[in-house]
Amino acid sequence: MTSLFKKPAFIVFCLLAIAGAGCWVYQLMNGLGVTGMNNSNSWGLYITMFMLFVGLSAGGLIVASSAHVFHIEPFKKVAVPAVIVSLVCICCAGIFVLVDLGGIARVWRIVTGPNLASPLLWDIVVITTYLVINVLDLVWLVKGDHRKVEVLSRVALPVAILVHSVTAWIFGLQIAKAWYSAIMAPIFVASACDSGLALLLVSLMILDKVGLFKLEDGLMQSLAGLLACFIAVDAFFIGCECLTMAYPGAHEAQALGIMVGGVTAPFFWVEILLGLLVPFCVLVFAKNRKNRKLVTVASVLVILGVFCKRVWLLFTSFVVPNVLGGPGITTGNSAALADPTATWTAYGAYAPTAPEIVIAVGVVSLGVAAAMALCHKLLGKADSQPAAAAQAEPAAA
Amino acid sequence: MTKLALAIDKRRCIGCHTCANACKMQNNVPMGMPWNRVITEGCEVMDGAVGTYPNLTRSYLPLACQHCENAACERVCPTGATYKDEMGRVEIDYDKCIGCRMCMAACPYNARVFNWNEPTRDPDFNYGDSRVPVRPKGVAEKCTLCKERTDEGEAPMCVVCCPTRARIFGDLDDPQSQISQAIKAHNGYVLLEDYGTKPQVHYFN
Amino acid sequence: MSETMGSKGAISRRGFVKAACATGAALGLSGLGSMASANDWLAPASAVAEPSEKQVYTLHQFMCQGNCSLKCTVRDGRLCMIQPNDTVDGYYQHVCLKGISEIQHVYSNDRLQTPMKRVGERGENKFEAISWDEALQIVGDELKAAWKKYGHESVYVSASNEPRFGMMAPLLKAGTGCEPGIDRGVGQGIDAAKGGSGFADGTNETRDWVNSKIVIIAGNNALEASMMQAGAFFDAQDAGCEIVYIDPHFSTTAGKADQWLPIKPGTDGAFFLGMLSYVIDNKLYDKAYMREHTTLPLLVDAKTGKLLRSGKGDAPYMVWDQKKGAAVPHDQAGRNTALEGEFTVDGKRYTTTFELLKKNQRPYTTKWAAEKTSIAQEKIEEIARKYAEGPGCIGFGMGGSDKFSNPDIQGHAIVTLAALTGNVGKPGAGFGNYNGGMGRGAALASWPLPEEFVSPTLPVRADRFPVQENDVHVIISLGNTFQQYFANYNQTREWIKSLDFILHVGMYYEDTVAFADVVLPVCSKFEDTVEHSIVRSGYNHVILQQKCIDPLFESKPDFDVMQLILKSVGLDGYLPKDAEELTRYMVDQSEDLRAQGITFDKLVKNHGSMPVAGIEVPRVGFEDQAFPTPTGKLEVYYESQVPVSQGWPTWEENNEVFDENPLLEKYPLQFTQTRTRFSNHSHMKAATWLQQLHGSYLELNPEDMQKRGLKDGDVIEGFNDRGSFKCPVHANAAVRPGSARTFEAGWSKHMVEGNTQNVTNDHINPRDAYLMTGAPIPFNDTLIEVKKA
Repeated sequence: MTSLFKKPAFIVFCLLAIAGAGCWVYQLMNGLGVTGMNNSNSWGLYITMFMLFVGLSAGGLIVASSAHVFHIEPFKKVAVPAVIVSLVCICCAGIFVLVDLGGIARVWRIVTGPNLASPLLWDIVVITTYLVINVLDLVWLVKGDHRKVEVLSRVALPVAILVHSVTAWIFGLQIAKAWYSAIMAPIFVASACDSGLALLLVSLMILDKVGLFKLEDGLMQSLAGLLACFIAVDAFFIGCECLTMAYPGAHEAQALGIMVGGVTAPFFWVEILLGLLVPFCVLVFAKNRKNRKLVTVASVLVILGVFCKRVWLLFTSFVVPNVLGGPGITTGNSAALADPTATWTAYGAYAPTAPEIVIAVGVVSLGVAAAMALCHKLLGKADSQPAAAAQAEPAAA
Repeated sequence: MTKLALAIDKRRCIGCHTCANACKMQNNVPMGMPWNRVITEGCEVMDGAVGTYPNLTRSYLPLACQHCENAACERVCPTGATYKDEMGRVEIDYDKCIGCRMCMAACPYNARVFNWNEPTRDPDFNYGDSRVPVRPKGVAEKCTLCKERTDEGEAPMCVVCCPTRARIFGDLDDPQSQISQAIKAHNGYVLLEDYGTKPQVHYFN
Repeated sequence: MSETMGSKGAISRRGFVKAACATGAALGLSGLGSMASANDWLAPASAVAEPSEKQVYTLHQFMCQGNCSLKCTVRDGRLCMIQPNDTVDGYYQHVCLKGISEIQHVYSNDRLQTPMKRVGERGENKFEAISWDEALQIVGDELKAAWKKYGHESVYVSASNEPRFGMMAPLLKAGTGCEPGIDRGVGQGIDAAKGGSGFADGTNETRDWVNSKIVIIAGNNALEASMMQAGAFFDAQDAGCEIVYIDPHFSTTAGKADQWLPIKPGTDGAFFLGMLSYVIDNKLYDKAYMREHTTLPLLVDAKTGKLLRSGKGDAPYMVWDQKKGAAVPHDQAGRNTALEGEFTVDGKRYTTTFELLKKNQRPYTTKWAAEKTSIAQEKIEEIARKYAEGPGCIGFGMGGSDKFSNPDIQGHAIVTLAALTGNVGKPGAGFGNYNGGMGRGAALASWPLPEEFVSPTLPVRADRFPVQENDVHVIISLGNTFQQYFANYNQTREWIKSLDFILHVGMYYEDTVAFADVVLPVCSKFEDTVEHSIVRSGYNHVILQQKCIDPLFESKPDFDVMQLILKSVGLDGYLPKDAEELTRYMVDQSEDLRAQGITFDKLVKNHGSMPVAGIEVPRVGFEDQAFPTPTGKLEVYYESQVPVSQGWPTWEENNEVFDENPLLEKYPLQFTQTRTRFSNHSHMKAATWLQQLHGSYLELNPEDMQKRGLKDGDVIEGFNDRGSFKCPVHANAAVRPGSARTFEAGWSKHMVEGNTQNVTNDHINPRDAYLMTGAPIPFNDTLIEVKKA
């Protein structure tokens, strides 16, 4: 472990995490008004990142668990890094929810007086369960307790799918917003699969580069092939949703208009073109899947695309209030209080502030640092006897 | 059963914002966080008009918590801080609110405001009804139908102060009440009826 | 965490006194920012006391004529709640957004906190805090110096809306009252016929509108300018009355009226002239009424316009008796009056004034009126028909068409319409200005002053001090007078520089303060040094003020300030000892109230509000058709105005705003400053609870925005040859294309630059001397152009 502190990257991530923590204290002292969120656009970067990281996490575990559930032998090799990525990401997701809370001091109220009808409560339950599964999975994987991993994976796979479905339902069950759609959960799961797998691929490339994990070409190619399939499924679901919104030409079409031609359009088109179309076109050719650089670029684009999707998906619904009228809604945040007339906004608008971005970067940095530490510790150990580990598993099966 | 509610005569509403400021006063509402606001429907500016001069129309819409019978905010609140009380009002237990803003995302009417900061009051003291609890930063708040007043059988402050008597307060479960009669006589309607939230605030022309 | 309110202790005075001492150290203060803020002063004291709460029944300031009686909650010495007085009859329980906003407004950071004296150049806005003693010493010295140098008439008390210093001007033998140039524009055209002061108060009450078939309202956004009558407006509609509203803009009132007639700005007179022609041409007039109660049958020399009298001097006017075939005095019993025809009396040809009217009206066909006003001819005819059928009311107000160069013509046409159709003195029939409801009132006693103390009538009206030779060198400004009572602000500023001494007495740091040499801070009507200091008779009630809290900062109630100013020149001995004594006197010595059994003590016992006698039925004035005019009739023919061709209302174009004006090429937009629910003129501009709802901005029709390439929220410059101002612009389809609209009396500090008064028209109609109160200041008769700043 000590050697880790000699790595400049690790130190940088730690410092960023500390900066984020500092900003979070600042936010605790001054309230969520230090962010760009406001009454008309009441969720922002934190919830975007929450959605993103739940997806990234679910993707990793789905691959790892599938390997064990469906006996996909080559994939089993990536189980440990996959679970590490999954664990770290779900922790990040949880932290993003916590930093988004206005009254974190009262968070214990969820335990003492839970409202079973609340999707947010479901999500907290599922994420907690999922976190426990991740920890157990990792512990048993590292211990080589193959039997337990096998059994756990049968639970982990549906929970991984559920965790992202429930996250989708936080949004998808709200009749007040354009989120209200049955396909929301499938979309979330599809983007979890592609972004999670993309992150896993990127992580494996890095681990391979730093020598903590040997990513064989064959494995990489089949993972990249799987990614191409996931992208296609994701694109298909988005297509379904857009068509359903557009076809009646009714009020959902307004939200679609904002997505394809309004304030959130840049994010929408980045996702469609750079996040889906380009990576798919790259990965669909077997030749390209052999090119590590291309696979890496495609994977990064997929993650970027899914981030953009989170943005347009969340914010499009905040733009036009259901009951529209001047002077509109009061933003209620500190910026507006300086000028009383500036507090009104006819339409929802949002831009993250510096403290908000630092907190988000800090949380991600914390995750990266934690992942580095875990990989360093766990993969480093496994690395000493890679062949033995690789051979032990099929034998046990 | 009791189902306390408001009916608003939009014809008599002159968009004067007295109800908004009466609410602000009564409930010690901080700057920039009106529980009750009056919007000019379909316009981007206050007192605007829909159409092209001189073929214009305008309607004012006083907008606050609709105290929905099937309240979306109540359903999604993870801690039960938002609840529907025995008088049919949607209320918030500020001690239970964790500030997740699930309710704000769920409310179709943008009726809720959030204490993004330590509340700023001008004047810098707690004005209004002394029975109203002071809310800290980090909790959501909204129209309580003047809980502290209506608990004692008094009308909400917006009803008391409305200069044109455009607001009627009463019990929807009592078919003989003025509010039930008015809604019936004037074909009252509710906002965003399609959403099935069953608002208890009714409007009529 | 759910801390209940009121646990903070009483206000500490110490904190403020300390701050005041610090500022007293001869600092060059620039604005109020450097002074102790209201918030500092409100810091909780160290000792935490149990909250104490009391209810106080008082009244709100009265410029808006709402006459709201209020129930205030005072907790720990702070004003915490303002509600309608719940002990009065339900119909009269009211308050508006302004009344409620006093919760903050009273404690505003814009309050003048201490007496100040100027340390920089005049208008530079640099002051230092001084003591009351020092301030009053300067005031006394300056007043005495002016008296010595120029005489008493060199001091002028410029009285604005809020502070009441009724006895100060007479005791100082100073001229007073800027208002003749304001608010009487239409009214003086009416009151010349029916008698009155020029305001032309509504002849019946708004509650009587339920008896009208039609109510025509022009030039007044009634639902904002007289908000407390909104109930009567809707009650009338509920009772089947059709409300027709004339306004260039789709204002709040336009949106609620049964019919909105979008009129070309400043052409309201042409609309009524058109109606008049239609009534005459279709003989929709009430001959019996015209004969009995108006001057329409009077015999007149058609060439000179002179009325025939039975003898010299004030001898009665003559009418033609058809039965006798001879001219008889207009009031002779048993006469059979001719309305029409030509007659020979003593060898000279005479006709009736009605015949002259018919002739005068010939050019003003409904077709002509339609062209002038841009309202369809059929519409004018329809309204004329309905009004003639009656009972009908014609209401007008202030803040719109009265602020042009010639609104008396509109007033004259209105009263002539009423005289022709007999829509006077009957339930549902009336005319005039309906602001404040025009209910019943009672005459309060006034404190007697020795006869020698009277305000002189100055040869020059105050709003012309900047342009006409006069002998005024000292101004005592009560409120924001320099900004509000003068058009063409740049010119006003030049005149202000020439004055010897300016004393400003007011509550807020408004425009006029900047020009003062000495500033004295007055407190609000909620603060007082005695229990009761104001009594008012308004809208069917007598209402009494009561102290809610002690005066904030170093301010004092207006009576106390008046007393101190008078004391500085040794004249305070004529005043009552305090405002409470004055108030008690005004009630208990009023014969009117005594007859009704209303006493001061009873008023206190009745929570500060008691109804006056007879309000069970809405007031209908002139039921006896006896008018306070020389003939006792409705004197609609203006013989005295014949030299300026206004014996009968004769159309005259506005000074700037008319279609053929070549200035339109340079300045194509008519600029209007309208009344708003968000302030009473300059008052309430400091209320953040109102500021949060609106700002100082200009509104243009989207079409005019597009023409100029303007986006919503752009900062623009509005300008003409007189000056310019800068503020944000908003697009609003409710604004008439070709017009630019803003709220009146916006403070310069709320603008990006300048003030809207920089561009306003100060033209004086040459008919000035012939008008009852002189030509109005044509604030809205102003053309500007707007460009991106």
